[in-house]
Amino acid sequence: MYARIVDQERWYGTATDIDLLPADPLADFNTKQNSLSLWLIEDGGATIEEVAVGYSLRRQGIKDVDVFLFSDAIMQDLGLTAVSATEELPVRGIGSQHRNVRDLKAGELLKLVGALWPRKNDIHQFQKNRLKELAKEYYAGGRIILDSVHVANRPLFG
Amino acid sequence: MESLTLTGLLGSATGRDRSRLLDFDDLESMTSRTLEEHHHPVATGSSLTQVLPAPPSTSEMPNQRLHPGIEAVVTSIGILAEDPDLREADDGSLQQALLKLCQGGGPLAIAALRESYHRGQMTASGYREVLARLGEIEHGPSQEARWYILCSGLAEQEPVVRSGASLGLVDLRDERGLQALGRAAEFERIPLLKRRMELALQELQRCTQE
Repeated sequence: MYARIVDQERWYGTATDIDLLPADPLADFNTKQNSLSLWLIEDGGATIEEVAVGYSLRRQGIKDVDVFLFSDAIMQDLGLTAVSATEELPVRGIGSQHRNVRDLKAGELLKLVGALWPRKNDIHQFQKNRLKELAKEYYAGGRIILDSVHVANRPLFG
Repeated sequence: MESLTLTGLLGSATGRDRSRLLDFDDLESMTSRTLEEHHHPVATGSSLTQVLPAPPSTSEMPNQRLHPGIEAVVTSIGILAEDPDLREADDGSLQQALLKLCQGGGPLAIAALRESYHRGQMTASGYREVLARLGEIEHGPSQEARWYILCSGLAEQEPVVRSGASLGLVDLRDERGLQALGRAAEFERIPLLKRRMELALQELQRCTQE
């Protein structure tokens, strides 16, 4: 499975025709240098909770986080391949689970969002207070990299 | 089509001092009109005035007009809420402006935020941001007015506004929000938003039990 942080409010539309989908969900799949950042979620690897906590700690102020979790099959159907590309999040041990889809074309991105749209109700929602609780648990377990935590969020750890 | 009133959304005002309940005609008529125009079947009910918070005293609303300074704060809040860069930076400037409004403007000024949205001076995204932040403000005297505007936000036509109101009600930590959120979640038709409301309700239950 792959995870991508999204904003659920961009996915509230009811359109079913791909040509009529709202444009905002594309903003949840923005690319840098034509690479799309994803997190690999698998047994024994990063969990969706760890990704959500890591992402929220890196931003200023902990807010609710939404995570779109989708299967490898969707990527395969579109001929998309995700390759390893380590990225540090403030949660220790999950950086190696980061993946990039490189040389992505606009049409491929549109097809990916179109394939995900009917599955939007599977977006996982994490409330900020739950994320804070999890962050404290990880911290107690020595799993938080404080230097990577946004300075505004550091008081959470005393 | 079900009738559209805020009372159904909020439930009955059991146990509350009816003498303190609202006679805030402009706000009520605006709310009822808005719900009817939008045909959003959020809830059914009878009269809005049964459940709303106490109105501002007449001394606080001379001629139903805001002090120009407060109008300027409302305008600045709209600008701050609309700016995506400021939203992302989350530097606290919007919260500071909202606190200033709560401290200096009274209930009418808080209601003016809603009016600003309905007049098209603020987009749905901007108003969503305002509602999501209103619950965070630590200012007891404005609790009633904020509770009111957040509950009314649950009945707005734009889903993102309802979403922002859900978030704001959690942070407001007012147990009356439980009923409002429960009713809103019950009638919400967008599954993702319904889930957000249900999670907000669970979180508010947890907060108010602590």
